[in-house]
Amino acid sequence: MSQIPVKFRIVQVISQIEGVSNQQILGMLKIEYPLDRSVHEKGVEDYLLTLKAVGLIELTNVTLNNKGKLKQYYKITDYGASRMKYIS
Amino acid sequence: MDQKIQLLLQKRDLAFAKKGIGSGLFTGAAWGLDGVLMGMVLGLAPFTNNMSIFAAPLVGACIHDGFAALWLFIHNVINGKWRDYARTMKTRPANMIMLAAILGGPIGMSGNLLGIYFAGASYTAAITAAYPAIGAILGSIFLKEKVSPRVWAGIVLAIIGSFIVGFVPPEGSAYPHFYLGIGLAAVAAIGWAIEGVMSTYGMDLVDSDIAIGIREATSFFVYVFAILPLLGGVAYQILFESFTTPSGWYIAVIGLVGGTSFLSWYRAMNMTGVGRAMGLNVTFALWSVFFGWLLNNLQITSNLIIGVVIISLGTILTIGNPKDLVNLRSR
Repeated sequence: MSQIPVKFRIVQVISQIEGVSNQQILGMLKIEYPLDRSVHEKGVEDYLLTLKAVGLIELTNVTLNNKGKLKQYYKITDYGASRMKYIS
Repeated sequence: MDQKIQLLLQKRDLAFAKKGIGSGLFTGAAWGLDGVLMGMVLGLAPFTNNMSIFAAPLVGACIHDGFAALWLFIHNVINGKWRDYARTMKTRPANMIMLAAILGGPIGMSGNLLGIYFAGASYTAAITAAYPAIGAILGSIFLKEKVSPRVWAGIVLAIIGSFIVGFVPPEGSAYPHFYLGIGLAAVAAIGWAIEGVMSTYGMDLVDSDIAIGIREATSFFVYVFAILPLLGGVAYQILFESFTTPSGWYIAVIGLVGGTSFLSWYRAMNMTGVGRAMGLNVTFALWSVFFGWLLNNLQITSNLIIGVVIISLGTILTIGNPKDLVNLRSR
């Protein structure tokens, strides 16, 4: 199966699993894109911030993990869902 | 959510917004430097042999975008993103980015150069400087971007300032095809504005670093296979001659400055919205005065100083309060 771009995959994951966390997303991507060195914590965080700023995804909840880092849970917005036609 | 989490979230969102504004300011400065350097190189052989008034700057733009595409590809290899080029090319948003590239790159640039030829540099600069306003209007319609009155005021001031910086009294009736030139300048302004809005729509999904890589490569190929053939053999002659002199290689290095500027421009549009990023990009007029003075003995006149002061005020208003930037669009 040919892969979709990393940022597309993040939106797709959020649209399929409501309330998925940033750490779960990172874990999934690391398995799916083992050769992409750009798949790391900061890279994924940057994608999530731009997706949130333009209104494709939104936060459902935020907690602190045991290392004092933000654990964020996301869901797709109606606008984001309307853009899923571009992701197959 | 407890207070500590909210503070951490706010801090993170604010840092993101500030980074976007930083990119927007940087793109203006780098673009100003790029323009001054390109102007200096286009004054060297083989670009000055009067073989064709359009061919020389368009060949320069072709080489510039080709090398910018190469440097951006290397940047994406270093950052481990290069595999996304091929994956992205198969998607519909990539087609939008390529179409945007053609509108903003070869079409916008040709409109600008032909505008200068038919209507003179000052009127063309005045019209093309309006592109951020057109971009902000299109952004608020098609992307539902929030543009506050203060940001509008900032964009308008930055445009007025760029107009004053670029304005030189017109030289009588030397332009028999004046209105054609004005129309072509408008094509450039609209092309650049649509480029911003279309590519930003595409970048909702496409990584901005990949988007700009695709944009520069598309621009280069359209110049080589569509624009240069229209200009005839003279264009290829200049292209090949430029690499037997230092000029072509100078442009290769300038492509690094241009590529960096484009990278920041696309990042800024993706992070702070089209209206604001274009309002910040237009500060290149201010920077081109500074770099022109520093590198090319530009004489500082009173209208340059007035224009620069107005651009600076407009820029401060355009940046506004980064706290307003956390959600870019109203839905």
